[in-house]
Formats: sequence, structure tokens, C-alpha cells
Amino acid sequence: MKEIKNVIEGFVIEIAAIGIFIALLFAVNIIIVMR
Amino acid sequence: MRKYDFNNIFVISYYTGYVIIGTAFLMLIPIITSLLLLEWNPFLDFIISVNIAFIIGLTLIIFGRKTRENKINMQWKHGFVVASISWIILMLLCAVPYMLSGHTKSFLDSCFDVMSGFTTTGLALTQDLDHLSIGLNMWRHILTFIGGQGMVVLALTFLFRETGGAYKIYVGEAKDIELVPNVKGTARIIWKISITYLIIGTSILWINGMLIGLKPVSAFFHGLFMFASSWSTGGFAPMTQNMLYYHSFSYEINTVIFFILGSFNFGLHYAIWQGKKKELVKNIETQSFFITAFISGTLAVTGIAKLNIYPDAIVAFRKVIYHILSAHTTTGLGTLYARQFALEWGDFGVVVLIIIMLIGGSACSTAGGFKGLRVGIVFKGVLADIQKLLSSERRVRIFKFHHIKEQILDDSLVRASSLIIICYLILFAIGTALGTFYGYPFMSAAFESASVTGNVGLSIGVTSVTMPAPMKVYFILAMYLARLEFLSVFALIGYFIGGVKKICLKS
Amino acid sequence: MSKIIIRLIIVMLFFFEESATAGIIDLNDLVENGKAFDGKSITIEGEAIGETLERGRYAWVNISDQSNVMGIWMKIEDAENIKFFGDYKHKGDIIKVTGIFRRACSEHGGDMDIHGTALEVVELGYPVKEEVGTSKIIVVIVLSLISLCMVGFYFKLRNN
Repeated sequence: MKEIKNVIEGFVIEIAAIGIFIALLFAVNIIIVMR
Repeated sequence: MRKYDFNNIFVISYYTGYVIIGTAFLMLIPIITSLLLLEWNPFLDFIISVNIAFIIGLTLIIFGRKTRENKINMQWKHGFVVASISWIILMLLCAVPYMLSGHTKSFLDSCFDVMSGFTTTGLALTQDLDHLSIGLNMWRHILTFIGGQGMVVLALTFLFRETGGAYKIYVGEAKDIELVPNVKGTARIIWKISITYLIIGTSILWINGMLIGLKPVSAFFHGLFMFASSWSTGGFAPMTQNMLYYHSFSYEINTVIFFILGSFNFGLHYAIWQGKKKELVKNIETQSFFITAFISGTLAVTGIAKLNIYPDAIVAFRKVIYHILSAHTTTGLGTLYARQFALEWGDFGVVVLIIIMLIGGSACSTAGGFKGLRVGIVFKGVLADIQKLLSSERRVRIFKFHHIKEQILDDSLVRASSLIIICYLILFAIGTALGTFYGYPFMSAAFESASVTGNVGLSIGVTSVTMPAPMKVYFILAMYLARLEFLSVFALIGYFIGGVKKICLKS
Repeated sequence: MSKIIIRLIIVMLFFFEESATAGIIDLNDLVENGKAFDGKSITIEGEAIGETLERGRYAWVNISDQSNVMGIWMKIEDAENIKFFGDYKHKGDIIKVTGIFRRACSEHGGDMDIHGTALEVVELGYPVKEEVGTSKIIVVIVLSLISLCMVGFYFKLRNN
């Protein structure tokens, strides 16, 4: 059970990290283009 | 002396045969697909192909059966040769279904597409994708999914009984990560990770597909294919327009998430799934990737914004950032027509793409290029050298980096990394020169060469049916060398030259 | 002098009319000359492929002429006129579409597309009948027999 919990946690973390990264890129992108 | 020679051939023949049989079993998937969908010609085409593969694989095993009988030991050189030779034989075998379908103009084109799939490059010479059978499209995407994992990894998981020889072939396929001490276990884990993501990813894309207007059955196939293409950082798509067919921001975001994940080292996934979450930020490759992706993305957006080719920020994000990430992870999926890079992006944008296509993704993942690990190591190596120069001579400093575990940055490691990077650069330079020789403009030749060298798959328009045959041959060779990271192919060449020399000297 | 001017105006009007209804352009011409055609009304003709991607009151229909493939954004009602879409088992309807070409459509994330204003089905598509050659079937049988023999041979060797 703990193994599945770890897998789900790991999966969520990976997707979240990439989501944050993309959001950051998006934010910087908007700032550059708006200027 | 003579007995020793034959033993070498037996070992190589035996294991190569196994890798071929393992891959041949995969053809059952398109066979079943075409059967269920009543696509009779592809059904028969694949039955023909699987038979040919079985005949050749069995011949090789039977020829090399002394390996099992006399329990001949496998050495490192055998491992490398098996890895590199299997890929060549498999390329020829897997091209048969394409050839029989009539969608490729020549056997060379079929081989090109197969090698492009195996190496998860993504450049395609198959014509009229929009009318391709689902069976053949299934095959194309299986090839790229398996290629991402590695055919050797596939064979290891299911067929090998002993593990001594297995590890040597595994490394020959340019994987060196040991998730658990035995290679069969490691191969199984790599598969578990990929299959888990396959199920989750296909489901997400399936639902997304239906939400954007695809009918349920086709949404499933598109989802499956696009997941396979994204995770393997391949770049194939079932339609001619690639990602542009879907006209969907959500579909694009999903593929971005999966291809970035796919470009990460399997060791990283394994570590995170075991609870070691900090690995995501401590790892030298993820650090390297996030930094270079961020810098290149920002540079590209800035440079392209000056050209005013996109009307607003959101458009710039969708067009520029998507392709930067697609290029950096060496995926190759795109929402622009190939020629638009040449016609609209301007030289700076193209240069940024070339550089990041060459840098590539993580080591021991489905990505190509120099690999973030090497770039990180060489970068830190240069920093270390500078620090050594500046500091007093009496202090002996040990430099470290973090990749799954703390590792020492020693000189031989930096040198090995630099040498491989140089090999890639040579491959890139030759490809560019070849392109210009045949009359393609410099930037286009360089772009396509970088795409091939980094196993990316974005095209600026050079790759086409009308491309000169020598360029097609060179691209096939380059994709192959780049994916196997040179060593096994050098071993193969060295072995042949050694073997030929022995035969010549004897007589 | 006025005669020349009148003649010039008539010639110019001719050109104006020509470019508005225009001959049918290749999709690839649009890609290659994106900036020149941007925002203009053009007519293209090609086979509808894949399927309609319905998005509310509008839909995407991707069409393929021999030169390239592009997406047309059209009203659902127009899309419903299309009976067959090209895939492995079908030849799609050939449709003639007039619309505004956008090199980087701001409404659609910068996609190169055409917002269709008029659609006409020029040629109906049809289901493609699959033909399987007898030679292929013979090859299948022969090869299957050979490999079965080899599998048998392999197991025989192993058991010895």
C-alpha cells in the first residue's frame, strides 16, 4: 500500500513541478512580450 | 585462435537472434489491431513481416546455439556488437510493413522511417499519413515507444535467462543506470514506469481528445499514439499536420507535460517514486534542463518578439515556448509548418533551436543530444578548473555533483563527457556540410543536421522524399550513431575491421 | 488622356475582381507566402480528412490538397454538409472553401488557418474497397509454413 502511495505522490509531484515550470515560463514570456 | 573466433560469432549470433525474436513479438500488436479493425492488407503485411523476422531470428539463434550448449561467456565487446547489430537488422525487418503498405517511395525511405522511430527522432518520409491504416500507425508509434525504452531492454525483460551477458548488451544500448543491482530487474522497473505512465497518459489524452471533438474510438487511438510519441520524445503523429491537426491548447499542454517527463532519467522517476522527492531539484540533470530551458525560452521569445510575427503574448507562448521545449527535450512535436521556421523565426530563433536541440535531454532517458548530464559535468568541470587556477596550490579540492547520489567530479569523467560531446559535434558538422553541399541554405542545413544529431525530429523542410539519397543514408547513420552514443557502433566497426584483418592475415 | 485613365481603371478593376475570387491556390503556396496572403480572402480545394472537430457552434475541418494539409474553421452547419472524411477506409469529400487566411491566427493560438466563409462540396467521397492480391495470400501461407518448420526444428535441437 505504501508503494502505491509513493507512486501516486511521486507522479503528482512530477506533474506539479513541471506545471510550475511552465507557469513560470509563461509569466516571464508575457512580461517580455508586453514590454 | 580459430576456435576463439567462431565462439565470438556464435555468441553474437545467439543474442542478436533473441533480441530480434523479442521485437518480432511486438508485431502481434498491429496484427491484432488491424484484425479488429478489419484492415486486411496491413493484417497480411504484418503476418508476412513477423514470419520473416522469426525465420531470421531463429536462424541466428540456431546458428549460435553452441553459446547455450557450451555456456560461452559474453564479454563487453560482444555486448556492444549485439546492441549495434540488432538495431541494423531490426531496421531492415521493421521496414517491411512500410514497404508493403505502399506509403513509402523506396525501401530506403522505409528504413529511414524505422530508424527515425527506433531512435525517437521523428522525421518521417512516409507519405499520406492521413490515409494510413491504423495498424501501420500503431506500428510506427510502437517503434518509437519501444525505441525510447530500448529494444535490448525489451528483450532483457522477457527473454533472457542469464544476466551476465545481459548487462553488457544493456550498456551497449547506451543505458548505464542501475536501478537495482541486477539488470533484468532494472529493465523490468523501466518497463513498469513506462507502462504506468502509458496507462495514465493515454487515459488523460483520450478524455482530452473527446473534449476537443474527437469521436471516442479515434480519441483513444490519437491519445495512445500521442502519448507514445510524447513520452518517448519521438515526435511522430498519426496525421500529416502533426500536433497542428488538433488545434488545441489543452492537447499541447498535455503533450508538453508528458514529453518533459519522458525526457527525464529513469533513475529520477524511480527515486521519486520511492519517496526521495528532493531528487527532482538536487539532480544535476533537472537543474541543467530547467536552467537551459528557461534561458533559451526567454532568449527565443525576446528575439522573436522583435520580429513581430505573433500578434500577442499567448500566441507567442504557444508557438515559441512549445517548440523550444519540444526541441530541448528532443521530442519534435510541432504546431508550425516546417518551412515557417525558415520563413518566420529569423536566424536568432533558429540558432537558439539548433543549440538546444544539440544539448538535448537527460541521460538514460528517451531523449537525445549531448545530454544534460554531460553538459552539466563539463560546465562544472570548467568551473572547477577555474577555481583550481585561482585558489592557492596547497589546497586539494574535491568537486562533487549530485546525480541520484553524490558523485565525484573527477578528471576522467569530465574528459569522457567532453569526448562524446565532440563526437556529436562532428556528426552535426558533417551533416551541415552535406546539406550545404547539396544546395540547401546554411541555416536550414544546420537546423536539419541538429535535429538529426539530437534525435529531435523538428524539420525546417529539408527532410523530404526528394532529398538526395546520400543525405537520407547519412541521416539514418547519424540518427543511429547519436542514439547509441557512439560506443557500440565503434565497437561494431572495430570488430568487423578486426575480423576482416584476421581473415586476411590468416590467408 | 481621359481614355487612358479609363482604360487603366478598367484594367485595375479586372485585377481587383481576379484577386477577390481568385483561382484556387495550393495550400503550400499559403505556407510559403504566409505574409503576403495574411488576412486575404482566398479559395482552396482539397479532401476533408480525419473528422470534424466540433467546438461549440464552430468546428475544425482539416483538408488536404496534394501540396499540404491545413485546418479550416467553419460553422457547424457547413461542416455537416461533408459526408465522407479521408482515412484508411475512405476517400473524403473534395470541398472547395473560400475564406480568410491567417498566417498566425490570434483567435487560435497562432495557428496558420483559414476561417471559412463559403463551402461547397465539389466531389463526393466514398468508402474504399480493400483489394487483397492472391500473391500476397500465397506469400503469407508459404512464409508461415517455413517459420513453423523452423520453430519445430529449434525445439527439436533444444531437446536433443
